[in-house]
Amino acid sequence: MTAYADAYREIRSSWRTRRTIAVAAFAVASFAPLVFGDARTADLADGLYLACAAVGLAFAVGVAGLPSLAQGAFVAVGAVTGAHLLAAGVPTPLAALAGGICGGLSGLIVGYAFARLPRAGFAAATWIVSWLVAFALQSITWFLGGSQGIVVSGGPTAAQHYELALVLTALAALGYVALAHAPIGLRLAAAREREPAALALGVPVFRLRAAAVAVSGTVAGVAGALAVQLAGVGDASQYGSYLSFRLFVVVLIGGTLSPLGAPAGMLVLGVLSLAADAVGRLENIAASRAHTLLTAVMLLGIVSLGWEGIVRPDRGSRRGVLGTGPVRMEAATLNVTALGKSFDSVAAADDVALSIEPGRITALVGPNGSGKTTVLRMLAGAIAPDRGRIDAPAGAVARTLQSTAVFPTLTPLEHILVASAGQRARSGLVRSLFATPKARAEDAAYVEHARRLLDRFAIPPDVPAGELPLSDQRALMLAAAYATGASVLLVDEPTAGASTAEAGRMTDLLRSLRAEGLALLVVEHNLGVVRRLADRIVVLDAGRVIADGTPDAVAADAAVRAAYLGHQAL
Amino acid sequence: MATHREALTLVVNAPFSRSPYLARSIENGVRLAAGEVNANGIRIGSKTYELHVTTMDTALSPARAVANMRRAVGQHAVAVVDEGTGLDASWRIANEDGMPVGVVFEGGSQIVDPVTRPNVFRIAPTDHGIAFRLAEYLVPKGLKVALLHDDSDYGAAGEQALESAFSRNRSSVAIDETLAADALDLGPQVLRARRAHATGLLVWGRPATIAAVLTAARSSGWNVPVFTPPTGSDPFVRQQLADNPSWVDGLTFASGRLTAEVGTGPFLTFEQKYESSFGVDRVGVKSGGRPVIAPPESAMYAYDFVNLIAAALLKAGSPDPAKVTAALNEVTTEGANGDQRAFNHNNHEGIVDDDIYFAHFRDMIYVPVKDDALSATLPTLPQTR
Repeated sequence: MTAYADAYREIRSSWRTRRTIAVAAFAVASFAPLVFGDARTADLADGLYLACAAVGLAFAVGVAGLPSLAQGAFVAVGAVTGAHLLAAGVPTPLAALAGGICGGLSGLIVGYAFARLPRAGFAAATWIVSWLVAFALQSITWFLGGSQGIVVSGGPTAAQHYELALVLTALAALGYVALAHAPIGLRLAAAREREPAALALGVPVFRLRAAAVAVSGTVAGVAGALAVQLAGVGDASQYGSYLSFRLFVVVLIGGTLSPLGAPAGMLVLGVLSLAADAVGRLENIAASRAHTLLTAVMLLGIVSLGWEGIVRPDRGSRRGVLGTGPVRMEAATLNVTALGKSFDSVAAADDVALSIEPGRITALVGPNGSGKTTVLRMLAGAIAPDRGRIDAPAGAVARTLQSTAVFPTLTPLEHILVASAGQRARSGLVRSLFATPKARAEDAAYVEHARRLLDRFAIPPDVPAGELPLSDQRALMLAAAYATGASVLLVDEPTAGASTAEAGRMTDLLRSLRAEGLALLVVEHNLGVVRRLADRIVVLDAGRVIADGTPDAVAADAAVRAAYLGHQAL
Repeated sequence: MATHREALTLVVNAPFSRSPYLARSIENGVRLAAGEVNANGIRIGSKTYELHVTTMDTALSPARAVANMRRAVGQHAVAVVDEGTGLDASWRIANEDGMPVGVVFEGGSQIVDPVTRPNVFRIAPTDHGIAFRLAEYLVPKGLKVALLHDDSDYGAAGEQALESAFSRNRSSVAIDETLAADALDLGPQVLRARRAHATGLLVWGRPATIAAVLTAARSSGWNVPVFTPPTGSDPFVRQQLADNPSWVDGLTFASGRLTAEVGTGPFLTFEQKYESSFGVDRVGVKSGGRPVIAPPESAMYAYDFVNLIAAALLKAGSPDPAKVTAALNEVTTEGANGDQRAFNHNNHEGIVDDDIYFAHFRDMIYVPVKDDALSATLPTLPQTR
């Protein structure tokens, strides 16, 4: 009961006017069958099933940043599954479930196959999938029958389908909210904004993206299976690639970053389609062509005007309570021996050996092109070495990127939650979707921990990170790496472009982490900072370690002075 | 003083956007009949009714056909004149209100069944009838026939009908091939038929497929006889081959006869009425220097069905669709070509298989063949203006 009371309190505290409007709109919409006849109700129900599929697509496009043009194909997969099962007498709920499973599996396959592609490539690949599915449905009559289609008789009435579609759309929207605010949603958002930075924080970007497409496909599959029963016939001509295109435009019109965007987009496109019908009749253009024309014009407008959608994202606040937050890994030493990496004939790292110990700051320095970043990336696991050995416990290492690479629209609080998500035990897809009491308790504890961490780093928690001063952004990157729970931090250029005061703040933070027992490897050009900060300095030149010792010893090293420092004094 | 008339909606459910010639032809037939019926109105009891025609586009999509049927029921239509797409699913929706549906194009055998689908009627040649008449016509000639059907829905239905029709005479079949409905060049497939020693091509497909087969055969110098279902008479085939009129010569198609035993008079009268209302349907080619026109065949079937509906309304004494459906089993009218049109409780087919005839093209117009008993008795309709 406490969990329910907590949930109720949380809903009350985060309630907004737009939510009242949404609930009122859904309530009013539920009376539509009383006003309209069967045929119009069936049309509306069909539109709602498409809106439901569009909400699923909005999650992939908005939260995960994947411009999927295969949503119509997933609807088709659900429809084929549903049509065959329903025609065989399988009850509606089971057919819908099977449609969702098949749609989800299709999404998973597409996600795994194309999640590594850049966005344009992903869009093109999914578009081809849409074409392939449409072509298969048209060519292989087994899928959906010929001119008569696969007949699906019985089942709920048009009015019942309408109410079902309305409830499903609402559930899909709630699911969108739950997942978007859960660790999976935050990590997807982080990957959407800066993939390398998300990878550096240990976000399993490609796995999560595949899961996002699977979720999107599941929703589409359920909608497809139910829509086919509503239609009374499985009809291949309904699942051409235009359906995917239309759903995509619906999502862009409505807004991808809000669950209410897709239904709003569907409503707008529906109204405009009526206008297109009227214009089509006047100009003697077939309705199907008038709709295609309209949709294409809409897309062109959205793209050229940079339209962000009718419904803009609603940023809610997160409530934290004391509980079991993340636990830092035990102190660990990172040992590197005989590490080597070549790019073509150029040796970027050659026989590098170093040891990064707990409670110490090791600085890795060297002139431009000496191989520092290559070594750092190998230590972080971003690239594989050609030779040598890196010894560290799994998950013990985290790094920051060379340039300032925050996720601009995420708040610092969300940054920390993204980084700490890897340690959570109850942040899986299902727990997140259903917001189970344990998941909510864990979430609250992590939020509280994140707030305290940001307080320690003196970073405001609730403004978009893109709006923070550069020094705060640098500190945030360090805080996020720290929040991963890693005991070894690889810090790349922490004071690049910083003023003296800002550099001072960063050195203080790094010292505090050292005092906490973390092992730190800092790559830094500012030799003054290095000298003040480092317990030990490793000097690289042309990929080889030419000096390794205390700052004083390295400063006195003639080879270092000659090869690296030139006339500069350390 | 003008008498108040109540409207009865008559819906035309046809592929206006995908097969406009066929759909417009059906619509025109319905409008012509409705206009004639409305001249006097339909008097039932103290009320007079008139028919209002509403068109709905199926776009050859079963789902849209079903949605249209829902709308027709929603509008309390008295009947639907349907091209046939999606009827396997849509008839149930109409049947919930007992609304009659008249199919005037598709010939699939499963579409009409008086027992399980009491509200579905058809005035159009059946695929089964056409396929068996073709087999009956071709086998005695000793031809080795290449059965070519495209992968459209129409072609797939024809494939089934032909398989059944030729099942006892497989030795008459040289090769059986499926063609891509949208292929521009069918040369390789036609060449395979030639290498299989085919002496006749039976092409069951859309007009574009028939035109492509003729082009492939004739351009390679193969003057093989080509046989088709009614789509062979579609103006599109002749339009495609307008630059080579001689390639159409020898194309023979099977269809429901347009004229009855009483002669050409009734059909020509109907054709005249049709043309005065809607103009002639020009094919777009010439014969003997004169423009060729297409006789209003599909329009005739639609016209006949509307007249049956009007008769059934009077018989039922009520505009209740269920009563009209029941009355359709009991009325008889004279069709546009002078034939009797009627259904009964055991038969909802308006065209019997014996009414299927053959005609072949000569200089872009078609002439009933002389080597078939029925066809030999039929006159040639004037097809130039």
